[in-house]
Amino acid sequence: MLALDKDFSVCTLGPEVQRVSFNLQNLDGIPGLVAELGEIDALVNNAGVLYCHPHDAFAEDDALEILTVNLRAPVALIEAVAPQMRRRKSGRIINVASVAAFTGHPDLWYGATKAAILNITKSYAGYLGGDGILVNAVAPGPTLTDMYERLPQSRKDAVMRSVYAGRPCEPEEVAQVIFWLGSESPAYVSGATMDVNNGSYPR
Amino acid sequence: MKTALVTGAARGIGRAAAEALARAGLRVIALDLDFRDPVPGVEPLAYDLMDVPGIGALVDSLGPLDVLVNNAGVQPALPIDQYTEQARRRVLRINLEAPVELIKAASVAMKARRSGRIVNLASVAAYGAHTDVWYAVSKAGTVSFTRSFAAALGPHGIQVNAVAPGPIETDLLRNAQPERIAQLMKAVYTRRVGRAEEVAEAIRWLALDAPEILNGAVIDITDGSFLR
Repeated sequence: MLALDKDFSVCTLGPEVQRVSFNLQNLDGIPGLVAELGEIDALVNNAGVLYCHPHDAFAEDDALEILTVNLRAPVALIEAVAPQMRRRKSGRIINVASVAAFTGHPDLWYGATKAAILNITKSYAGYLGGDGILVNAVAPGPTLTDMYERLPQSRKDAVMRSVYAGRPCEPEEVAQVIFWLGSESPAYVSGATMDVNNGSYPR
Repeated sequence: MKTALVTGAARGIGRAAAEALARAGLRVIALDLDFRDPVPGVEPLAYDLMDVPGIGALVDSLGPLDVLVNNAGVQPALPIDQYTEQARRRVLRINLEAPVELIKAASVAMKARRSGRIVNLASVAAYGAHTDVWYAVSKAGTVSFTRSFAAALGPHGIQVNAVAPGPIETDLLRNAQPERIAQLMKAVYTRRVGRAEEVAEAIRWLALDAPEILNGAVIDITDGSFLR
């Protein structure tokens, strides 16, 4: 189990998880990084950033960071692991999208990258499916993470009105869905998007 | 020990789901018209779901259910100008009215216990154009009542989700219109049809392992045959 992040200073993962410090804005470094990591059976593209700047005052650097980390880095990671997965005729890739892909979002570029990640999921499911590689996405609704804390209160209120359970999603619940897609889900589930939004957006 | 009721469990996806739940340690009641080929390890229950008014009493007689799998379904595979009144009534009864009645009946005890999981069999037929109009209507309706019951029962601790399979190796696919199968297979990534056991794994996961927050969701099991 390899855990990649740019900063592990507040990380609670146990010693069984190998930590890989890497900033995903370094797209050019991704092939070399993956080459050092050995065999990868499952890739979870989870890293994402969000700013919630107003759409008419979005700092250029922040827009680029979102596009790089949320979109270009997952693609670079898929490209980097695909050859070895193809050789083994086996592999599972899970991309973390968001219900924002369907609804629009206060952060214009965050929403746009999450919609794009669903399209990328389908494209790669097609490109790689013939070689036994499964590519799926999860689209969580609002989930109790640091990112949730940054949402405007109006959006949090809208969330609470719309969910059946009367609570946001727990990160562990999204993880359970990712775990299934990364381990036991049937091979015929590919190119799919798993909605984990508890009724906030039935589509 | 948890108890599950699986409808249409004599063959195909229902049978595979009953077997998967039994392997997972559940007591499984397998409902179907008849069981020429018994499913080992499950309790057969002969019932004709055309008898919708009898469903309430039937479910009451089974005791509380932890899991309900609404799998039973028929597909007359007729062009609309050849649809008989009888075929239309049958597809709407078995595919739509019976599962709704089963949910209504089973959810009474689930609500009282604030726990229960319901899995409905939709289909990619719910999403696109289809050569069997009433079958597609019934499957679109299945997606709809999955959402309606998730909203109504979710606050009571009950999860209602669905699976939407594409082409799966079953009698239903063998009887389907050839143009429909060809239409689906064009887009499949691996050029194969799915296996009943694959759909059963998704049903098992929804019935046992899926997180509580997963409600009103539909898992597409299509391998590219329909992308949503």
